[in-house]
Amino acid sequence: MNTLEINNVSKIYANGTKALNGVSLKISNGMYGLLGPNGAGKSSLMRTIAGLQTTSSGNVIFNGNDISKEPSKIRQYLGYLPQEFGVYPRMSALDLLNHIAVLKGVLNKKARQAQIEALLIKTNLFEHRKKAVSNFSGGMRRRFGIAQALLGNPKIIMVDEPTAGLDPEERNRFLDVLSEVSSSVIVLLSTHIVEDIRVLCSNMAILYNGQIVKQGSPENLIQDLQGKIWKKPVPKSDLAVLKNKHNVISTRLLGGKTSAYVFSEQQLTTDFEAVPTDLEHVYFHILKTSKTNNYAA
Amino acid sequence: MLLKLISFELKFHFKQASYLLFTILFLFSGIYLGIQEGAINPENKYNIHLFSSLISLAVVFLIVFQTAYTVLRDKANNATQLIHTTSVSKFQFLCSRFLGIFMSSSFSTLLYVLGLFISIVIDPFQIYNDVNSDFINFFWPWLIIILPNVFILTALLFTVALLTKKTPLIFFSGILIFILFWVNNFYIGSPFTGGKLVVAEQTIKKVALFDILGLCSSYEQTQFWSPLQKTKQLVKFSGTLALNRIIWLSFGLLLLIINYWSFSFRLSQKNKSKSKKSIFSILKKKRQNTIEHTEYQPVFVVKKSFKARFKEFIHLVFIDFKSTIFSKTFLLLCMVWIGMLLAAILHNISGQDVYGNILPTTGLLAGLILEPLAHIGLFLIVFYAGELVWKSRQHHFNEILDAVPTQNNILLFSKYAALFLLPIFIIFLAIITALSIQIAFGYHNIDVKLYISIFYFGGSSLFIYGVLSLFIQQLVSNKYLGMLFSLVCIYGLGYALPSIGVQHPLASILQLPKIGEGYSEFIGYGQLTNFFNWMNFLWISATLIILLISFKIYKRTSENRFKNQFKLIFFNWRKSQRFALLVLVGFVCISSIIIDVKSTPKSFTDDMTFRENYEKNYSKYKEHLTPIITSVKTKVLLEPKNLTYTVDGNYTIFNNTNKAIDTVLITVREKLDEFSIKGAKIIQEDIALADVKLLVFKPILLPNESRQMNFKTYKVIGDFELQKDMISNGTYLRNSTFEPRFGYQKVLEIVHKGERKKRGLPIKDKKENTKDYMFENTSRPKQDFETWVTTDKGQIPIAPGKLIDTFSTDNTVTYHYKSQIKTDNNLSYFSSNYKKVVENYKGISIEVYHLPKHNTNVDEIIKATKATLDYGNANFGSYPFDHLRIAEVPLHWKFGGHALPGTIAFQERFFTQDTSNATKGINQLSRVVIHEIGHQWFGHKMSPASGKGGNMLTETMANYMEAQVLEKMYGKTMVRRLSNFGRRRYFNFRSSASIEEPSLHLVENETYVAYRKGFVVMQSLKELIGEKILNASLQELLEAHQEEESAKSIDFINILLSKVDIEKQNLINDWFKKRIDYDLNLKNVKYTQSNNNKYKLTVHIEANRYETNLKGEKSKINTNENFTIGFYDKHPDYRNAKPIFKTIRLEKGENTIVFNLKNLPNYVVLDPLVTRLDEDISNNIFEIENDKL
Repeated sequence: MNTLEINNVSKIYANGTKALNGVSLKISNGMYGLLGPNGAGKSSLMRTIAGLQTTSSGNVIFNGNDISKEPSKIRQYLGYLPQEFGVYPRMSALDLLNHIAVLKGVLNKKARQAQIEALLIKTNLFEHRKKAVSNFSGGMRRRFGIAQALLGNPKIIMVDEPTAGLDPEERNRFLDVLSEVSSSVIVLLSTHIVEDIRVLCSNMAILYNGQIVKQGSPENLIQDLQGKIWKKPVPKSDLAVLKNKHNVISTRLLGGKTSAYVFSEQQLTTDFEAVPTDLEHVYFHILKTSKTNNYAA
Repeated sequence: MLLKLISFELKFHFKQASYLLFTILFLFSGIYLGIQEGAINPENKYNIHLFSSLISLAVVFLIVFQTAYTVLRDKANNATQLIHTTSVSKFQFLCSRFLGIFMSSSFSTLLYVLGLFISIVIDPFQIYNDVNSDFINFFWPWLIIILPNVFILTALLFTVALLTKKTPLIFFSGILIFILFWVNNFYIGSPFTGGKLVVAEQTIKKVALFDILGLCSSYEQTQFWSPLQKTKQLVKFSGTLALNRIIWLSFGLLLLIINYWSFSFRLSQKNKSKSKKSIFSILKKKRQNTIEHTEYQPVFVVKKSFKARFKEFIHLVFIDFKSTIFSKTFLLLCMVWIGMLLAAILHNISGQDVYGNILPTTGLLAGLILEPLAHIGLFLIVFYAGELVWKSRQHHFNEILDAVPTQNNILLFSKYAALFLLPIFIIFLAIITALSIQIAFGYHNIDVKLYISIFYFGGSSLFIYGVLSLFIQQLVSNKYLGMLFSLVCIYGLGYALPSIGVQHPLASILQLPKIGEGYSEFIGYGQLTNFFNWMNFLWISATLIILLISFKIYKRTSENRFKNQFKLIFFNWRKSQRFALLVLVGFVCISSIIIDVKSTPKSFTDDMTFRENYEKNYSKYKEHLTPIITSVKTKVLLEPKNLTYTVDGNYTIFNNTNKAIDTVLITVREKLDEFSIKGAKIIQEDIALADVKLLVFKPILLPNESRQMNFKTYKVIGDFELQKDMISNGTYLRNSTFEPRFGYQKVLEIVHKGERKKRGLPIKDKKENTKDYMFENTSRPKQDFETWVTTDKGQIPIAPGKLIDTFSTDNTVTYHYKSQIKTDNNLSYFSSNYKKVVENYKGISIEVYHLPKHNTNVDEIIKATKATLDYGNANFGSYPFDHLRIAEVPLHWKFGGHALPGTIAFQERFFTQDTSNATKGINQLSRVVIHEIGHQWFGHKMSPASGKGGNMLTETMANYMEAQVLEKMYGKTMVRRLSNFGRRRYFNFRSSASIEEPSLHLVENETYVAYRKGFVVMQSLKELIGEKILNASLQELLEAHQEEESAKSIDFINILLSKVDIEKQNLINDWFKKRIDYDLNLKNVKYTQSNNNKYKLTVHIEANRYETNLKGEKSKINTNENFTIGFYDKHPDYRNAKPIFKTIRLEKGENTIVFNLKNLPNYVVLDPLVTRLDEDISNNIFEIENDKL
């Protein structure tokens, strides 16, 4: 069993931005979702775990090793797919995977070739293996990203916004791959797509302004709000009044008509219809609460 | 909108760190050059033009940076789609970006010119009387050279950027422009490259048009300008210069039009092309379908053993190296590199005109590789250090790479290794190129060791630069800033201290001595190697400290900040790191101390102070009478293996004046260990950079009295002392090194005007030349000479004189030489591991002493020697010795040959001259042999009195001998070539002379007058009075002055005048006593064919003659003299052309002359043997086609 402990980690950049503020998490094997809006600190947290940036305070312990002091202790077992990445020009997928595999310590040529081949097949890139990665489409490049993250013997895989910009088919394929490997390793999935978390993760945390504002299993979080989300179709002109009056967590357009979703312990009026709670409601509710509580970085 | 866009662009440029850095550098460079003494002469408009224009070269790099930032900034910041979808029009977009670069760069260059102007007008040292404070002198070159250059360069680089969208290619284009500039300038021998080459006018014209920066065009226009013209005249916007500017400006404009036409806001589709399906891809697909589909499994990861780390390291190096050498930029760079080398090597071995072909020896080729390697290697290292460090970040691949478990030191070390493989690769390419040339030219004496040494001698400094560049790239936050800082740092550290006058070798920080040109077959790189090794040890140790710090502070994270990294330098040193640091610091200290102790730097300031004190303290002895030397006896012990020599001198001095001498000043270059003159006492001694003694004679030295002078000097040549006189194999010790010289030595006075003024010395009057010194020339009797020269066994000692005897011991060999006749005081001692070739020719023993390897040209040397002896004996009296020794001396002696009595020092390069093809041009080898043997008559048999005009009697006459003997050996065409060379070089060097030209008969050290003008004048004289009368006159002079060093140039002129009529007398006086040149123009030739098949040719000629006065002012004077006209079947430069010569009389202005010829010539040539000094002789040839009347 692999364990990752994040203890009260803060990160302040040189320009004064407080990217992480006392983040504490405990993660073990399985898929763990990090949900948060843009700029919440998800990528900063991932870079900190990967040892790509130092912490301002706090520490990160992986399998008992303090990687704030010895980042190499996690890198040996790390598969990392950053949010955005480029590749060297003119290098084929095969050559680039080979290059990264060697750097990850897969020095046995036969084993390396076999693993690369398997990964190329798994990510459906085999027939493109000799093409330059720089010419790949966005989806292909993402799949290449996961292939490189799975090289070697990773015990922790971190994927930062992996499905952004993928078409549904690509997204499913990608999530399948992650799901397959997650039984014996930690997979840390950072995203702002709630659906990905719901489908894949047994545990999750919501980040807002560099702080963990909620954590737990998606089921439990949904359960907590069950029966407390109400929907009301509302004309746009009345939306402001409704927002002032009730705890509107989100609005949604359906067939050109706006519906407001309101958090309330009980039905407010008869024109409020109870809806089954999903993770998106949880996410919006927590964000709303966080904003109200004025979590500031 | 356009104005707002331009204003935005200008703000963008003014905020770029690189722009600000360049602009500040430009401004300070201008100020620095202006106040730097000797750098620029503000009295001279041409000089101002030259220095102002120089900024064109530096602005290339500013434009490279600004273009890369401007054109590619959208792509680099992923803003292309954002910008390209705005309402900006194509014209506004391109125009604003172009003008932004153009205007900001022009402004920077203007600041340079302003800096120059302000500092010159301020003139802090108040050196110059007539400073050109008019801003137009500075603004004009900016307007006609710099501003168009900024436009052309911006257009060119802007186009490269728009078309390729690749930063490396923009940089590469900049470097290419830079390289092409130097190649052009070297090719035509412009002032930027020392200006020693003489190149045909047509070649210069072509290069001047081709030169993108227009600097060669300025040179083309001013190449023959007199010093007066250069002072008074602005470079004109006319001729080739104007054409050059118009062509290149049009080219720039055309590029902009093409840019406008080809540019589109649409995204490029070129990378989206579908892969072609071929039969191979179908077969591959079939194979793919058959492969065994394995399931993904985690695989065993090797723990970090040494082997695993090594494998990782090799893999990283390989990936970086491979991706670099197969990149388009690097391939282009390699092509340019090979092209440059081929051009340099072929240019050197197939010498131009008078220089003759040279064999492609490994020593020569190694030097030709090492010289440009230092420059191209520096750019390579600085550029690729940035590329390698920033590669992963530039391609946004860093987060993936940084997350791999590879150790930091392996990641960093692999960058260093990949970087250092690049110079190794280009050195390897250079060696292959050089070897191919050697094989192609049939030269098989290949020295593999010497080739391998290039890796050491050329690679060491690149290693140092590489470490520094990578270290800087680690610290900075921008690749291009890193490149700029690296260049500034390398040049700054290397040249800052020397530029303010600190001459110590340690002052050139991280710079290694240049070794390329120093290779000689006598000793390889010789003493330079020792010095180089220590300097290398020092700077490599210092570099390793940087490397250690580089490893210590290396962090792979993206948040590297200079402050954080800087802190790491001082804290958390591990024990092993501390130890390594201590050892390296120890190496630096020890090697610095050794270099300091062993080197004997003579700083410029020390030298100037010595000269100042010498002049102030001893110039009062200028007019004092001095004794002369009448007998020289020396015992010279040469110990080349130990690099020591001892000279024991026993001289007889003699008072040949009619007054008694009571005090005498002596000056010796080297310190004397013992010194005495019988009856003389040293009353003052001053040992600084020379040994100066003041003696009092007690009793006084009476007229006609002789006394003995004894001295002894023991010299140990230091390990780092680059003494030419003695190396372990190739001693050439001149008596001027150790011999006491009587009287005040005017030659030690400071010449530079600014330096004299600064030190409170009187400024020398320019008009000194007008005074006639002919009657002040002093005669002196010649001297007896006898010497015993001892050297290490295995070497042969040589000195002037007849070989009397030889002695040897187990370790030494001694030769005893004694002069047969009295000689002049021009003596040297040789020793080397020579091979001796002897041939007895008409009672004269011709002896050639050469390195065993250098036997190719011995036969040609002997052939030329025999021809010269024959001509000399037939025309100027018998050769004065029974032997003629020609001994090879190392390459570091920059003379071609040096004539001693009966013995000639002949420089090494002539032994590697390729004479197989020499008859097509000029046989340089024979030319120098003839010249030096000529001095046995004109220099030794007849020695001139000291003073003005002496060089006319020696060098001019030896040149005349060259012409006569070469004509006998190889025909008139070679003389035409040689005279043409003399003519061109005369105008060329006159143009760069700092003082006005003396007349030939008053020439001192102006070689362009004595050698070049002298050659042409002697050809005129021969044509005027005939070879017979001329030679008889020379023989008369020789006979009259055999006993004493007493001949004066006027004596020769008087002999000539006594033999000719008044008309010829006038011409002789003009040619020798005035500055006369001609402007001849064969304007037209028409012909008709008569009934008797004869041809009637009507030739139209314009003839003009000019006299230049001592102020440099030129005026047209009367012309009425005979010229030769030649009718040629082939171009006069063809060796087998068969001309018919006729004499014609030309008067000032237009002349029409009719000839009746049996055959119609193809060429009519006025003054075919180039006997007149005419700036442009291209209009002296007329090719007859069908221009019938």
